[in-house]
Amino acid sequence: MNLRGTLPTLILEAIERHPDHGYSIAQRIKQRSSGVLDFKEGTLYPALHKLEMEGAVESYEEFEAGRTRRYYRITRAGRAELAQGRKEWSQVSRAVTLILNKA
Amino acid sequence: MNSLEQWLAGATRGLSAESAARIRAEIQQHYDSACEAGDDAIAALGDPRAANRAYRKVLLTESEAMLAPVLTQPKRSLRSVLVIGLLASLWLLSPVRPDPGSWPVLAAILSLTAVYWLYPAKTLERSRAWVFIHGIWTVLVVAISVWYRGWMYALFLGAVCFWVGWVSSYRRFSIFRKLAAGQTFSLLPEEPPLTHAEAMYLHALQNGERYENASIACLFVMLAAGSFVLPATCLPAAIWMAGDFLARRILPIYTEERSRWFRIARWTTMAAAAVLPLLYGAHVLPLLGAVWLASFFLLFDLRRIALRRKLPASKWPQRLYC
Repeated sequence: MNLRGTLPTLILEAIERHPDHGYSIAQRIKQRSSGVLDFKEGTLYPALHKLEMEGAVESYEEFEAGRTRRYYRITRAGRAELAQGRKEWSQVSRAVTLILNKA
Repeated sequence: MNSLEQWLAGATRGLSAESAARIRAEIQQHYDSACEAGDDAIAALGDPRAANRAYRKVLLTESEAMLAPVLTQPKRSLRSVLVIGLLASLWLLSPVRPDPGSWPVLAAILSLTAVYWLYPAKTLERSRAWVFIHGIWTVLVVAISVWYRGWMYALFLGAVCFWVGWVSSYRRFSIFRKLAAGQTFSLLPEEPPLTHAEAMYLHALQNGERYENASIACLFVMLAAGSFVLPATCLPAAIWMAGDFLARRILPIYTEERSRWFRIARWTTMAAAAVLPLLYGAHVLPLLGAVWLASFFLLFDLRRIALRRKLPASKWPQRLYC
């Protein structure tokens, strides 16, 4: 299923509780949607960089298991953006459900 | 080249060295994790061209990284004043006599240069403001042109103002936004005697065929449109440009001596095209427009002349010969 437009919100949701690295974020989104939401992982990083440019996430490098990894953590602005994303999605999904149930 | 390298080459094409290094490190980490988990890492990454398009929007590209030092430390440029002066002269000397309506339009166009001198876009906030200023300026120029000169003129001018002004200001804003997010750039590996602007131009000559062709195509469209409005001024220039463009691509001029003869022929034909009709009694005003246009090209050619003087012929890129 195409994630266009919703990927930033899903990323923010994936790192809401604790910072994580790109591969883990991708896997978490796929697992939590039971494999329904699938996307090309090459587009995950541009989305992360965009969120970083907007100030919604911060990144830092950490040495782990013999190699350096870049971790992303949500910022205060990112939490506000996530709350807004949840609200918008809830409205859209309710509206679509209404339409489809009437059909 | 293995498949990861191929993917990275596609995804980092045209990005600055720093952006490419960050992507390489990050994707390598991702690839290692995917391999450990037994995933088909390359298939999961998807199309490198799609990733490249997405990266270009959020990370500094090679050309943006080259512009960044110029933008962050702007100098009040004499060249831009000269170019504006030439354009203004071309306008005023056009065969359509400068009626009283020309002056408000000209004043509206030149006002932007004055505003830029007073309020240069050297920070993120200012560059954001300039996106709006350019939009408002374009609307203002079109409105004044419609009032004094009619729709056709206004549309032509509006298209030029939009292209030159708004697109460049948005690009500037995009660069500042990326720099504000902490992205870095390194200066060009310049040849010691070159200025930064010359090094940028040399880099464009070495790599920028796509951009060069795009800008030539835009100039052609502008001249073709101008040929309808001001045929006596723009048509000779359009024909000369077409001949020059074809000659550069068809003739085998890539030796020092041949290129010298080509350049002599080029400038002679340009001067002849401007002067000869005068001898046959043509009206001087339309032709002065062509002379100004030739000066406009010469202004851009000065940088090529400087590069030829400063670099040994063995280091000239192919497009510097003509």
